[in-house]
Amino acid sequence: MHRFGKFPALAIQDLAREAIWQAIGDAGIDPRVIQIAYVANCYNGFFTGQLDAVAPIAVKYSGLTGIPLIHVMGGSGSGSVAFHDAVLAVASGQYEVALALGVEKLYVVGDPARSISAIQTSGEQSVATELGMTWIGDLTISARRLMHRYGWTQEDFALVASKNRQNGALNPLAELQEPITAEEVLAARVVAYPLTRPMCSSAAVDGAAAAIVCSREAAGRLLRTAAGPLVRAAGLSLAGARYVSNRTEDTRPGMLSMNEAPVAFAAAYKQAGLGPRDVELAFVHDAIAPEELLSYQVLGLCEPGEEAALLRSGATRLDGRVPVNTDGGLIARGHPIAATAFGQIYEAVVQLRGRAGARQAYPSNGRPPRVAALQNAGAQGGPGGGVAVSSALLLTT
Amino acid sequence: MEDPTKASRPVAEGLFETGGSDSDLPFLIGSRCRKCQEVVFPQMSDCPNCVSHDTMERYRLRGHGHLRDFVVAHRGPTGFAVPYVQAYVKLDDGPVVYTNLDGIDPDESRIELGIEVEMRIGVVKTVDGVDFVGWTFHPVERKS
Repeated sequence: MHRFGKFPALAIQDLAREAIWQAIGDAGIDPRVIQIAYVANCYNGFFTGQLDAVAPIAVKYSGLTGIPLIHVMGGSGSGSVAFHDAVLAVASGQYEVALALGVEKLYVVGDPARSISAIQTSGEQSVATELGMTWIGDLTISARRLMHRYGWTQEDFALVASKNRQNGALNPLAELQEPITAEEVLAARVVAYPLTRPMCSSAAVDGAAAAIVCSREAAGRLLRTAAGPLVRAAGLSLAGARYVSNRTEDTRPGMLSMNEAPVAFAAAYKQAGLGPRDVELAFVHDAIAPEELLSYQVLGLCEPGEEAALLRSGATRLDGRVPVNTDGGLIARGHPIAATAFGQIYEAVVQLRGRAGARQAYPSNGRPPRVAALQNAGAQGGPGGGVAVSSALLLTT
Repeated sequence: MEDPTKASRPVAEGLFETGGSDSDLPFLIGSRCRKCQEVVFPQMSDCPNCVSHDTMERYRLRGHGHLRDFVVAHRGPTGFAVPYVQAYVKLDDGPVVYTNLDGIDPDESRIELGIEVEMRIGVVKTVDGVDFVGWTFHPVERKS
């Protein structure tokens, strides 16, 4: 993983090669055994005009050639789709070893509105973003409804933000590494009430992360010098947004990034033969702090309405029984859109292997976690056409 | 029908009309399903509700409804002067549409959910000297 942050001097291939060679080194494989690569990237075309050939550019400067390259786009869920497809490619038996990565450059020196304009292109322009809709605004509107429904407060959002910033302070790969107290979060500049700046992730960041995917059989043969125990993708499911009639009540969780997550997690839990009680570590899509609160419910970590109580109990802190976003989450790690899901996967693997150093979670009996749940979603489209993909991933040792 | 020399253009074609022959009021162009009567916006030919092919017909959506949600945005993309009010309006005809609110103070404490709003067609943003024309909603003023 290349650190997430502001790197105006680096191109996508510079970020990608750091992530790719780290993954190769970590897996302990000869790079020549990689047979296919999936590259998630959303906005290279927006900033450079280079719409296609993104996958070749991201991969060939790492010296890897002679393999099929697939470019994946799907908003914030791009990385999950790339990983999903790499897993299917290997599971099908067609390929033995796949490389999957996410790389994004979104930081523009001195022009934050330009970064917002870039991510706006993931929305349906004609009926939403060209008229003024922003993702932050849309999510904030949902958060306000949920505050009313579940009794969440602005203080709860501040608690999520300070928790994740404290975790980020222990993560040398995080964008933001300065801790911040809940009081400081509440006193910060309002972005859209009730959200203050530290409760929102920044998409104006760059970064890359990569994973090597192979079958268990190939792993035994090829990964002789892996940096730690193998991690298994035990459950993996994508769900898409369904249309809900405007003459009926929408009974989904009530937030763009979370609405289809229960469907995805039900499938992933079933596939893995696991349930929410088995989860010892979670990574969730906290583009804004209220999304993390709602995720506790959609992952099954608590009953609907118990989210704030779970947070306030400390259960989701680094020293809690089910730590959430140990790397700082989107809020502190940063949210370079197509790279985000790989940032989650990277941290989950490090934690499951017990190699997270100062931020290692020991949720049960002083040993590293054994089951991690990863939630991510990609917004594309506009109101009512909501989310292109919602991803549920269960990683186990 | 984009003309690069024109200083004004709609955000997209086929979304609204500024006023019909039998009415002076502007309207949004949606569709209604012959089979299940679902009304959607923007226009579609195939119904996402009953999943039927070619069952939807053009349907005029009156630019009138109620404020379902809003938020005052203090940051925005290129072309929008902040602060501005982002909102969702539940149209009397069914669909919920995204809109900016105008004719209203962008002050959280002074905007009420559920108020009656109506549409006007006008400039929503200006980028590189080009006015983009779309819709906004504003509170209905009751003359006493």
